[in-house]
Amino acid sequence: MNVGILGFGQSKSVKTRMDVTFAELVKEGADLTLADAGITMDQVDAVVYPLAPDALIGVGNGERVVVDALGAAGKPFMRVNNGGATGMSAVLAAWTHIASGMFDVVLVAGADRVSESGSAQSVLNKMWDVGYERTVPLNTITMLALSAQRYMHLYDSDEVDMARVTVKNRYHASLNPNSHLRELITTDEVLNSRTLAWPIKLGDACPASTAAAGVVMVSERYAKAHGLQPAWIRGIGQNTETYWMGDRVGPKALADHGDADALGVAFQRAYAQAGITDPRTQIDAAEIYAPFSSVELHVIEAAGLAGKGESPAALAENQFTLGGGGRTVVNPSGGVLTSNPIAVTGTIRVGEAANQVRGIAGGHQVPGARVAIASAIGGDHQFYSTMVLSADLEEL
Amino acid sequence: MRKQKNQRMNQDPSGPGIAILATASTVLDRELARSLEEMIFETSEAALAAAGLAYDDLDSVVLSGQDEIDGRVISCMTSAGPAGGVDRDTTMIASSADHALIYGYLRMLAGQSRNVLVVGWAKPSESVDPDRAELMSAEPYLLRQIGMNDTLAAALQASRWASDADGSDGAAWPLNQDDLPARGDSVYAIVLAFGDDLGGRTPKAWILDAGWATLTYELGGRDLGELESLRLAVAQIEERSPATKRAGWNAVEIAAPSQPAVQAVIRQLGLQASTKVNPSGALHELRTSPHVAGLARMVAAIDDLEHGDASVTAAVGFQGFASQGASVMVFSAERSAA
Repeated sequence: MNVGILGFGQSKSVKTRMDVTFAELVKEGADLTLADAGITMDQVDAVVYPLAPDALIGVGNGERVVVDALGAAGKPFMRVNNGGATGMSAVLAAWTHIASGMFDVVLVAGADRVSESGSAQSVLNKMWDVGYERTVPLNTITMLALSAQRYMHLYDSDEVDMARVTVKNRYHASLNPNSHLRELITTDEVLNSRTLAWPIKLGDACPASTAAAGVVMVSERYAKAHGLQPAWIRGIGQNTETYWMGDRVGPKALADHGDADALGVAFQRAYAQAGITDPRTQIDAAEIYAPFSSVELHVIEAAGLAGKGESPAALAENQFTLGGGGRTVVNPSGGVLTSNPIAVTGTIRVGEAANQVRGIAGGHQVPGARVAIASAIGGDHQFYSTMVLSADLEEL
Repeated sequence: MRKQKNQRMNQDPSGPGIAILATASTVLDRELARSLEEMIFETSEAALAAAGLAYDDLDSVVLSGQDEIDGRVISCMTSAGPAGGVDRDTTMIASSADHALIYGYLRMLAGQSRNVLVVGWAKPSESVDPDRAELMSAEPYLLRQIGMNDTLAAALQASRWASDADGSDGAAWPLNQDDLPARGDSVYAIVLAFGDDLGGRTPKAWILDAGWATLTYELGGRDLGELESLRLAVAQIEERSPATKRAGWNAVEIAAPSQPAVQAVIRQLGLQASTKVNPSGALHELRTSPHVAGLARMVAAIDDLEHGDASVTAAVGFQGFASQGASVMVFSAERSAA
């Protein structure tokens, strides 16, 4: 059964929102999403709610508190939590709802206010086991600094390569009114920014964002019955990597912390369903989850848009930049590096990719985009979600 | 609300052919010797062994834990590996463990997986303070200030069915301690498979259908005595699968917030006197935790098909304060029972 993205809504990502409660923010995202889809909650059969750590909003089982804000009372309702991948895993769960044959219209909508959670990195440190890696101390920055160092070692890369990612994404974000960090930045400014955990500097890091977002998903039979033209989901994939950092280094490593091979497997699963055999020539836009500039390097490679260790050279030639002349534009919205409301960051990746193939992405539209991909990463670079979308079912 | 549809099931009177290959459970008052992850590993292995499968036979794992009870910010991170999730599709359904089994069922209906392992857990003995974890589920502006937790919410609900003559042993009026679910450490694992792809294995049960619904969070926004979430969940099943009649349920396992709520479920479902209720044990006899209580009863309902003369069983789970959400699954000993 084919499933489509009928509508996508998002509020502007900002540092704080003092004008709304959390529930009101969720409602804002749901309302924007339903409006874009042109439907009301009466037409929604079921709701999947994305919410990552409860601790970021300070309420256990926080999904129950926002049922009314979503308008979901009385409907089948469940919550997904796959860490940073949550926003996209929830979309995949909604795909499952529809593909099961039980439902025709499913809403995925949620919100996060990361900067208002006290210390997000202190919260995220508690992801690691209490007896060993928590005390290192690992958090999402130090964990991925280790990955960045490994990538630099493997592929003779440097901090300039990372900075180029930020320069590109800030340019894209300047074209996207919903992005959090929209100011243009230079390579030197990134290199001279404050070091958080070497080689990651402030300019290489995502912001802690507050925003809401959602998508409305429909079955093919519903779309046909109502004469609708959604963005079509052509392939999906998920995969999981080992939890332990120590299992990603050394001679007995299960995976290399410098690469994203498990994400590559998830992409291959989605590509196989979609019929993508040569990503470098078949994909117009890629909305890929990369909260730090170093992560985008190996995610581009996991997506098959460049060989291992080759993404820095391609970035230096502006191959992934809007208007840069390359085949695939990577993160035309500005990506996670410019906006990261964790619970819905993955949802935004899907929605932005859908808007690209619907041709309604606005100032950051990739001209003539017909095929797009989206991905998300959760846990400690552990849970991976991928998706291929196209403008119509005949594409690919 | 517009009618929901399930063409697949309506077209096939024998049901969708989703089988329960095996279940395994670990239930203890308080596990001191093993970590939560060790319990998950051993229970998952036991379920797979009972199913005659290896981890390589699995293509997806559905997990369910509760971060505050587990004392882990994203509890699926440490649990995915022990449950066999590495190198495969893993999703955590965090709203309740019974939702996880329903989601595993949806994955099978969607044709996404050949085999799904569903694992749900709660180990409150490892939590710093389970009561405080429950308090964290109260919104911070009003309910948290008055100390709301599952026991108080259950008492508020039970007061709708109580009379002034009812007493209490101090648990929370009108409830006595034996009216409340016993607490303990537990892990449940269930293996699902396609009925047409069993490889000669004999399933424990077949899933006939599932329904679930969630109501408003606000306790003052609903009649706590009405169990509207349960009514809606059952209505979904009866609309999709008219043959799955309540009158045909031989046994029903109910994970209600209190014993008076169990009686209310019996009344609302109109269960016949011949229908066995909670044959696996009363609420105070089955050690569990609110997050996994519904899944525990679903596993019990599956087991009831083997241990008695039942041919169709059902399980009821609830989520949130005073039955904000409800889940219902119906199981059969025979694929064609519906």
